[in-house]
Amino acid sequence: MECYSRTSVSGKLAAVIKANEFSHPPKIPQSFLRWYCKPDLLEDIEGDIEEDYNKRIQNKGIRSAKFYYWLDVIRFFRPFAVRNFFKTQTNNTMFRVNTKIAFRNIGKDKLYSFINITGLAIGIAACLIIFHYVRFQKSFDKFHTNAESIYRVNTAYYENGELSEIGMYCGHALGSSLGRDFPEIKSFTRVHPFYKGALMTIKNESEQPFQSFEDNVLVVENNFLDVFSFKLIIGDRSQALKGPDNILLTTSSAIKYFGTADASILGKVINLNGGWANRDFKVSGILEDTPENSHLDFDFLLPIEPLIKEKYTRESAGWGWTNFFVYVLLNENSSVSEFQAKIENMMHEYRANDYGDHQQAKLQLQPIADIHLHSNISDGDGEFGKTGNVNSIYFLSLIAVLILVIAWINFINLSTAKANERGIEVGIKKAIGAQRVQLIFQFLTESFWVNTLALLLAIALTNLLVPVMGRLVGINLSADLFAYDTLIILGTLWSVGPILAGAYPALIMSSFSPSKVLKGSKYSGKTKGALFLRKGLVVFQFAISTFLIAGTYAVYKQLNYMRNSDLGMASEQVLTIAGPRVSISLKAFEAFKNEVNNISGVTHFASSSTLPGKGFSFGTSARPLGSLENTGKRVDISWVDSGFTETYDIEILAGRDFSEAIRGTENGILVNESLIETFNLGSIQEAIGKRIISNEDTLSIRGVMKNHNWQTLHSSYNSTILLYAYARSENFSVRFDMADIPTTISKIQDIYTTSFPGNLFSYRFLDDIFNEQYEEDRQFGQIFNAFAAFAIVAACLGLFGLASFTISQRAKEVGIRKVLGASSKSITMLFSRNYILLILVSNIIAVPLTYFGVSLWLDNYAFTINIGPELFLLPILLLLFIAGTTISYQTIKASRSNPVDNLRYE
Amino acid sequence: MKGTNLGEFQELVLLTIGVLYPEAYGVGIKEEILSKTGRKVTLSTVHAALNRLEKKNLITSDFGEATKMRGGKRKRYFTITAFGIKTLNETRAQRDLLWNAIPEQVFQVNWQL
Repeated sequence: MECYSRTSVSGKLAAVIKANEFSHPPKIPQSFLRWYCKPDLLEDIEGDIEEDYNKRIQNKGIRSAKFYYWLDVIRFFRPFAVRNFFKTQTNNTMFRVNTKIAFRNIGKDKLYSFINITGLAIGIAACLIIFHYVRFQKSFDKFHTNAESIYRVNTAYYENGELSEIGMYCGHALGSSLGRDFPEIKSFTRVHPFYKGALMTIKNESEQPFQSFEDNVLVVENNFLDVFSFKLIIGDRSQALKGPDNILLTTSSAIKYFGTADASILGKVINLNGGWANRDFKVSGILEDTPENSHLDFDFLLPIEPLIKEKYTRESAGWGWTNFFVYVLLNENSSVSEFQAKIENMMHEYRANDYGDHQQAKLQLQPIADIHLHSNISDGDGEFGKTGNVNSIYFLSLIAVLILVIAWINFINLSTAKANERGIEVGIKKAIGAQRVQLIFQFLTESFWVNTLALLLAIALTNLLVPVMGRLVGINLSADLFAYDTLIILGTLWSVGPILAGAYPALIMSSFSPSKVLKGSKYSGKTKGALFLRKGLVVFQFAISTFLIAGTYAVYKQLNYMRNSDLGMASEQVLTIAGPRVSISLKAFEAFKNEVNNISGVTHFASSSTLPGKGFSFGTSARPLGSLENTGKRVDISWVDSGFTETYDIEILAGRDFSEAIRGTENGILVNESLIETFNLGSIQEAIGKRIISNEDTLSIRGVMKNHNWQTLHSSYNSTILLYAYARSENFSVRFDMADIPTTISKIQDIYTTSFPGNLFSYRFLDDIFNEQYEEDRQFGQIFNAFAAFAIVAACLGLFGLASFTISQRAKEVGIRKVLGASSKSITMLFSRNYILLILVSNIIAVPLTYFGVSLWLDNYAFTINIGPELFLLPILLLLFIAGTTISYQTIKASRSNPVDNLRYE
Repeated sequence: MKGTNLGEFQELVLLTIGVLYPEAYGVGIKEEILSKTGRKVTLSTVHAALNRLEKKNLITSDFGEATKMRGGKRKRYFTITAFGIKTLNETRAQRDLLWNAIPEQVFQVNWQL
C-alpha cells in the first residue's frame, strides 16, 4: 500500500502537489496533538493524520480536510495515545517519592488517617455548606439583568429632625413624576399589591367551576418585565401586560387552574372577584415561578393602568393614597448619590402642604439587592416578602470559620502527637544527608495529600448535605461546586489548607536531631513549647465547642420561650376564618354570627380588620389633645368589633369594652398601657376620657387594655389603638372549648357556605399564624444547631485521636504502674484528669465569650430569656460527658492491658 | 488461554496487516479495510487496535521511509509475529470447529427467508 501514495497520484496532481509542497495542516489542532500525544507514538500518528489530510485536500477540498484534521486530532485523544500528564508535568521526582511515602503513611495507621481525614473533611464540608446558605441569602434579586441599576424609592419620615419611620409605600403620582422630571431614570415601574387577595374562578364548559383564593397577586406597570428579569415562558414579553384585561400566571398557578402550563391556555378566561376587580381577565402569558431568591414574590400579575383609571379617580388619590411602591431603573452613567440628592426633597416640592414645619419626608434610593438583608423597613411597616437578617449571616460565617479552624487544629495536634513515630525515619534521612528543607517538603506533601483526600470527601459530603440543609430551612438548595465563587473557596482551601495545617508539624518533625532520635530518646512532644501549644489548641477547641453548645441551648430556649410565653391574650383555641370576598351583606354577616354563636362549644365570636400576628391595619402619628402639633408619636391602629377583646381574652384594666348597645363613635377607642405611658396620660384611671388626635380625628379613650403582644416578641409593646366597628368582613375569629374540633369546624363551614355563597371557606388556628412569624428564627436555630453538632463531632474526633496517642506513648508507664500495684481505676483517673482539666480551663475562657455572644443575639428581641447559670453549666457538663466517653475507651483499654504485653520488648 | 482471544475488529486489523505485508501502516490499513469490507473506520480506531495488538505481542513494528505527503514523518510498518500467526490460526480453528458443528438443516431452513 505504501506504493499507493507514490504511484496512484497522477502526473497532473503530482505537479500541483509539488507546487504546493503539500499544505500545512491547521496549527491549533497540530499543537494540541503534539501536546497530548505520547512522544513515542507521535510521529506515526501525526504522519498518518497528515497523510489522510493531504489526500482529502485532493479529493474533497481544503475545508473538509481541515475539518477532518480537527476531528481526527480529537478522536485520537484516547487513553492509549495520551501521555501521562501527572508524571511529566510535575517534573519533580521528589514530589513523586514524597507522594508515595505519604500514601504509605496514610495506609499504615488506618484509624489515625481516618480520624485525620474525616475530621478535616467534616470541617471543610461544614464550611462549604454554610457557604452555600450564605451565598443563597446574598444572592437575592441579583438574578435580574439590571439588578445593579434598579432601586426602590423609599420615603424616610422625620419629626423634629429625628427619623421616625421609613416606608416604601407611596402614591402612584410619585412614580410618574419621577419618570417625567429626571432624565437619570431610564424607566420606572410601579407595583400595587392586590390587597386582601382575590377569589379566582375558571369556568369549564362541562365540569364544576374551579375556584381558589389567591393572596399573592401583584398589579404592575406594563414595563414590569422590561425592568425585572422574571422569565416569561409563554407569551409575548413586550405585550403581555399591555392589555387592560391581561393576566399573567406562574407555571404552578397555571397547573393549579388549568392542569397544564402550555400555550393552549393563552386567551382563557379567569374571573377575579375581590378588591377593585370584579371581572374577567384573559391569560396572556405564563411566567416561570418566581425564584426563591426574589423579594418580589407573586403567583399572578395584572396590569396597573385599569386599576389607576378605575380606582384612583379622586384628585387627592395621586399622592395621598399611598398604596403603591415604585422601582426605578437608572441610566448606567448616572451617579446614584447625585441623583439621590436631587430627589431627596421632592415630596416637599409637590406636597408642601402635607407636612408641618417639624416634619420632613426624604426620598431614598434602596438598591434592590439590599432589600433582602439590609431592609431598614420594619416588618410592621409592610416590608414585602420575608427579609433575612444580615447579622445571622455574619454569625453563621463565623461558625463556618470556627469549624474549619477546629478541623485544622485537629490535624496539627494529631500530626505533632504522632511525631515521635517518625523520629527514626527523620534521623536516618538526616544521617544519610537529607536537608531540612527536603524533610519539610516531605511533610508538607503528606499534609497536601491528606488535605486533598479530605477535600474530596468534603465535596462529596457537601453534595449530599446541602439539599438536606435546604429542606431543613425550607428552601430549595443544591450544591453548586462549579460556580465561580465556590471554585475560589475550594482553590483557597486546597492551596492554603495544607500549608496552614502542615507547616507547624513539618517544622517540628524536621527539627529532630539525628544523634538523639537514633540513640532512642523519643520525641514525646514534651518540650515545654510544644506541650503548651498542643494544650492551648485543645483548650481553644473546647472553648469554641462550649460556646457553640451554650449558643445552641440559648437559641433553643429563646425560641421555646417565644412560642410559649404569655402573650397577654388567648392564642390557643382560637380559629380564624378568612372573611367573604364577594356578595358581602350585613344581613348575611349577622345571620352567620348568630348561627356560629349558637353552635355548642363556641364561646366567642369576633370580626376584625386584621389579626394578631398579621400586623396592624395601619400605623400613623397621634398626639394627646392640647399638646403641640409637633409632639406626634407613632401609634398602630386596627378595627375590631365588640366581641374582640373577649374572644382574645384581652384584659380591660380600666374603663369599658366596646359594646353594640352604644352607638358608633360613642364607643370611643381602646388603648393599651403602653400608649398611656408614651403620651404621659397619668394612671390608667386618669386616662379614661382623655382625647387623642390622629389624622385630624379626635378620639376619646373609653377603655385601657392590658399590654399584649399583637406582634412577635422581637418588638416591644406598640402603642396600640383599637377602633370600634360594628362588623368587619376581613377576618372572623371564633373561640371554642376543645371538645371535638373537627365537628365544630365543619359546622362553621356549613354555616359559612350557606351565609356567604360563592366564597371559599378557609381557616387557620391563630397560634399557627402567630408562630409563622418565627420562621426566620427557627431557620437560624436549625442551622445553628446542625453546625454546633458538626463542631462538637470534629472536636471529639480530635480529642479521641489525641488521647489514643498519648496513651499509647505511655503504655510502658501503665505497665510499670500496674506491676507496682496500681488499680485500673486509678490509672483511668490518672489519664482522664488531664483532659478534664483542659476542658475546665477552656470553659473559663468560653463563659465570658458565650455571655457576650448570647446577649448580643438576644438584643434582637424585646422579650428575652434570662441568661442564667444553667446556660453555662449545661454545656460544661455535656462536654465533660462527651469528652469523658471519648477518652474513656482509650484509658480503660490502657488500664486493663496486661503489663507483660507492654514491657516485654524493653 | 483467555488473553489470546481476539476481538472482531482486532482480528480484522491483524488479517489486513497480513494482506498488506510487508507495507502495512496506519492509513494503508484503514483504506484496505474500506476497500475490502466497505467499513468506514477512523484512523484513531485503527491505531487503538494496533496499539492493543502490539501490547499483546501479536504484531511488531518498524519505522519505514518518510514522505512529503506525511509532512516528512516516517511511516511505521507493522508485521505479524509468530505468536500472531499462531493466534490467527487458533482463531480460525475455533471458527471452523464451530462452523462444522452447525447441522446441515440450519442452512436449508434459512433459505426460505
